[in-house]
Order: sequence, then C-alpha cells, then structure tokens
Amino acid sequence: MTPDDLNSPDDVELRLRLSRLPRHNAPSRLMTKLRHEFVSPPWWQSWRTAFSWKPAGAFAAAVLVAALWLTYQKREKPKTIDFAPLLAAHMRTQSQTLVPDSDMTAADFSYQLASYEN
Amino acid sequence: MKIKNPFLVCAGLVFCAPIQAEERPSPVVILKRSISAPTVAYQGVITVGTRNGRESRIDEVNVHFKPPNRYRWEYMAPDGSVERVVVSNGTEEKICFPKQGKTLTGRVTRPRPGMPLAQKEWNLLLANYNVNVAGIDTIMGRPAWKLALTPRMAGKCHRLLWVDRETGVILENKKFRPHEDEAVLSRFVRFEAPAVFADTIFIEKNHDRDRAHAFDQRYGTPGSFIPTSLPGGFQLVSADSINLRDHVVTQMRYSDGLSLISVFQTSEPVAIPNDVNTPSAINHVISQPTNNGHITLVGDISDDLLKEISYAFNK
Repeated sequence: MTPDDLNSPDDVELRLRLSRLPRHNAPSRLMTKLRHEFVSPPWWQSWRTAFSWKPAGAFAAAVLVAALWLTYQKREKPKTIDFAPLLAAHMRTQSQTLVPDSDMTAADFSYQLASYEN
Repeated sequence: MKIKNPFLVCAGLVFCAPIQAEERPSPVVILKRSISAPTVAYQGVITVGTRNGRESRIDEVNVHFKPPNRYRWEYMAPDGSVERVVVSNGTEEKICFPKQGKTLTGRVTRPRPGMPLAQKEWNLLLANYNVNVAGIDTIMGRPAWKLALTPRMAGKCHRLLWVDRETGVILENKKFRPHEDEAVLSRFVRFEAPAVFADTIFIEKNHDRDRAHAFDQRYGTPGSFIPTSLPGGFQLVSADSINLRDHVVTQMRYSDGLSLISVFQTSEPVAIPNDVNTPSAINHVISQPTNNGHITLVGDISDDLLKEISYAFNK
C-alpha cells in the first residue's frame, strides 16, 4: 500500500468508519508485557519499581529527626555534676564539728539525704 | 561591828572560795565542758527550727544519749509517726527510713577533745571568736550558762549556747546570720538527766539488708593544688576524694573553729539549681571554673566573704 492508495476515496471512507468505532483499552498485562519486551524503561522508573520508597523515606526521615534531636540535646545540656550529693556531703561535715552545729541533731543532713536518696 | 573571831571568818572565806570559783567558771571552761561528751545518760525532745526569709521548718526529734558516745535520734512526722531514725555507737552511724525500708550507714568522725583535729579546731575557735558568758538563764527549770560566741571578723555567723550547769549538755543553740535574725535554733523542750533506758534502744536492724549501703564512701587523698589557709581565718582541716557514681570529687574542708566551708573540686561544672534545695536554705554557694577544673564553695558565711575566699583558688 502506497500513500496514494491511502488517499483513495475507498480508504478515506474506511478510515472514517474505523474512527467511528468504539475504542477499547488493551489488557494491561498485555501492555506491560509488550512494554517490557519492546520498550526499555528510563532509569528512574526501574528504580521506582526496584525499591519500596515509602518505608525507606519514612526511615530516612526518622533517622534525620533523631540525629537533629541528639545534636540539640548534646548542645543544650552540657555534662554537669548534680549538686545534691555535694550539699549532703557538706552538711555531713557541718554536723561533725567540734562545737555542735546549731542544728544539733543534724536534721538538715538526714533530710537532705532522704530527698537525695528518694 | 566587832569581829569576835577573825580566825572563824577567814576559815569561812577559805571554805567558800571554791564555791565562788565554781559559781563563776571562765567562759572557755564552760565551752570546753559543753563540747566534751556528757558523763550522764539523758533523754528528751529537741525542736530544730530553721528560718530563711519567709521560709521556715521545724523538726521534732526524740533524743536518747548514753555515755560515752551512743545516741539515738528519732525524727517525728506531724502525725506522730517516725520519719527517720539515726542511731550511733560512736564510730558508726545508721540512718534509717522506716517508711521507705531503707538503711544507710556511715562513719562518725566527730572530733573529740584530745584528738589532734579537735585541738586544731579549738585553737582556731579561740583565735577567730570571742567567747563570753552573757548571763545565767533558766531553761525548763534548769539553770544554764548563756555563752556568746562572737566572730572577730565581719561576714560570719555568731552563736548563743545555753549550757546546763549540772550536766554540761547544750540545752539551746542559736545561730544568727550576719545582719539577720536567727537562722537556726535547736532547743530541748523536754530534758531528763540522768535517764534510765535499755541499751537495746541503740540497736537498729537494717530495714532492707540488700539495699543498705554506705553514704560516705571516701577514699584516697587529693593530689592537686590545695591552699592550706584562706581569708577569714579559715584553715584546711581535712580533704578527701568522694566517689559519686561516675565522678570523683575532691572535698576540702576549711574551718575557723566554728563555721565550716566545703570546697568541691570537680572536672565538670556543677549544676547549681536556682533555688538551692537546702531545707534551711542557709548555705551560700559559689561555683566557678579554675585552672584545676571547677570549684564549688559552700558555707554559711556572707556572700562577700565567700567571694573573697573563692579568689584564693584562682591562683
């Protein structure tokens, strides 16, 4: 068939009749098979099919948030020593002086120790 | 008036002289007697009141003492139950928390007359404070000497002691902060001497043997720079390393004979809360970095004096 044949009055009529016919989609499995055999997909599509991006993305976001939080915590709270045991040690010493402290039964010390231990 | 028998008068004066001397012992003798262990057993109730600005707290403590150095203190809750118990045989002290089922133990290192440390503190006391008899009062119907211990330097607390004339026990003990009303007051509200009670009162079983542990684990001696004397007449009396879980802290104790300053040397800064959580809130605190790590000073003296003392650690 030549281009001249396609422009013949019979062919024009045939094309018109064909175009008026109802259209149907080809079965998707057939199309996938045809694409797989005759068309090579672009690289991003092959990656998209290889990975499950949703869980991977969620995991990456969680790691990022955790890293940021840890960095923030480290910067906001420098390593320090709790004051309570030092105060208890001071009160212990204060209760053991030659002249009895004005707190004669070392109530401060045991009170502090109770709050520290609890 | 004609003296009929001068010999009799002289004899009378000689006889009465020791009584007169006993009536008016020197303040230093009274103080020395009060810091010696009483030779008589006693029991009673002490109230300990602490006041700092608007905040105040009162503890009521049942006290038992037996010579030479055994004691039992029971801290009572407002509802009459026992909150905590301190029992000592003179060398070891147990602090029990019956409600929590916990017992802590520690050494007793209170200096006793005759010990070198006691002599050092005694000398410092006489060098830094004036000791006077401010009068004779009656506490719970018992005559007591009122002793005033006044600092020779500004910025320190002064003290009033009421010493029982019969037993030498301190019946009342008041501390006044500089330029303020009294800060801490201990006072017997019931006192019985001599008292008779069983020795078993000084035996306190551990409430939870597995959880019983020491509260003053100390070891070694610090090796870094430590000044032996500080402004205000304070002298180094002892230094130890304290093991605090994952830190080793050096505690240096400085005394002027009456007040005590603790200087803690740490490798990390100390987190001082805005509202220092002391029940009486009587201690002043300074914490700062130095060439040898960080130091934290705690003491019941004025801020100005504590600041001046802190400069000694920046050398």
